[in-house]
Amino acid sequence: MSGPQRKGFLSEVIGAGTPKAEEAARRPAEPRVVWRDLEEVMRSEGSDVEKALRLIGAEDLLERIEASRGWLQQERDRIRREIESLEEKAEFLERVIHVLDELERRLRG
Amino acid sequence: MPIRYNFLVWRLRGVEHVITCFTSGSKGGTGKTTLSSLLALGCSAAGYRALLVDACSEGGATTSLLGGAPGPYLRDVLEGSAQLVEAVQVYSLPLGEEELDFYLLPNRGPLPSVSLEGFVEQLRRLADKYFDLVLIDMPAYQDPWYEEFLQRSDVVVKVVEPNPAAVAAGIVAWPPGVGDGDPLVVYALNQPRPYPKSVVKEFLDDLRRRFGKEAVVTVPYDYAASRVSPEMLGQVLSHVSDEFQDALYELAQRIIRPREGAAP
Repeated sequence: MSGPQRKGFLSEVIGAGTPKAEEAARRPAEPRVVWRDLEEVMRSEGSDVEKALRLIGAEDLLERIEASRGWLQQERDRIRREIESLEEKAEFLERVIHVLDELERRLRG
Repeated sequence: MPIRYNFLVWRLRGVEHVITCFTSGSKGGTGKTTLSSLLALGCSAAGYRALLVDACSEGGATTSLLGGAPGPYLRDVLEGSAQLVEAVQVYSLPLGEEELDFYLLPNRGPLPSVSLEGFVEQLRRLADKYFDLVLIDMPAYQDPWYEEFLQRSDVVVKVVEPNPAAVAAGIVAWPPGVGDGDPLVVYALNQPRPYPKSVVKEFLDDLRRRFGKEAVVTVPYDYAASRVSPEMLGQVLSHVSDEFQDALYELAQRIIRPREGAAP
């Protein structure tokens, strides 16, 4: 993975036209994913989780959970494959060690 | 590889342009650069603009995150040969199909021992316009001149390791103890290397007894976080543990003073 790439100086990249306040104003309302809020909404609005998430502005939470799960599954599978590959290598080395043991035994014996 | 999920749901309440110094007094190697750098990147991932200021002569955030950077540097701004706004640089870290922008005022070489009043005023004006947070990565210092950075900050994070020398250096660093609340002092009991749980608990209990529970945040040892380098940065962000991210988040919340009237 490559490291950080320089984009330029602050004045070049952001420019005077997009100060923080203007950018913040354009930023979509941020989902406040707070369990207390969610519980409160579900108490008053019923047990519809999707509606409750929409009401607290976190309607994409389920999608994000899904995306995270997908990535974690990929990582898990990759790690399992690595473990399998390492186990195969360890088995091979074990066999070589066994051959060397046998060779030494014959030479000495 | 995408960034770890937890960073994306950071929601920092009542955030405003808070200037925070990361110091350990005279003790080096406690993890100031790692914590301040990863906090800046975590804030960026969460959609906040954090400016990281490298106040180290060498081995600070500039080296850790980039290996090196072209000038002008903080040194030049303090000497008056460069404007602050012209020295802040923007970097982009590729993370799979996404990019994570971060903002750095780099440094190289010793800083001139000038008054910091003008610089901090400029920094506040810049932050007011462009940044939510300013994080200053301080060196381990013997020269009391560096204390002016701390004196002019809103929050001082004393980064200490669970060992007697580091804790003592943190406690005596300005302001001694937790000061009078201005600036706000937070102790980050950090483990840049593995420590036995019993040792961490001993120092945690001691710091909490001295300064109160709210003044101390424990940061666990993290295999990935201890490997921050320009080449590994993306991997680090993808592999830091949930516990480490939670600790960074807790630290972020402690250093942000809730804005008056902000939602609880």
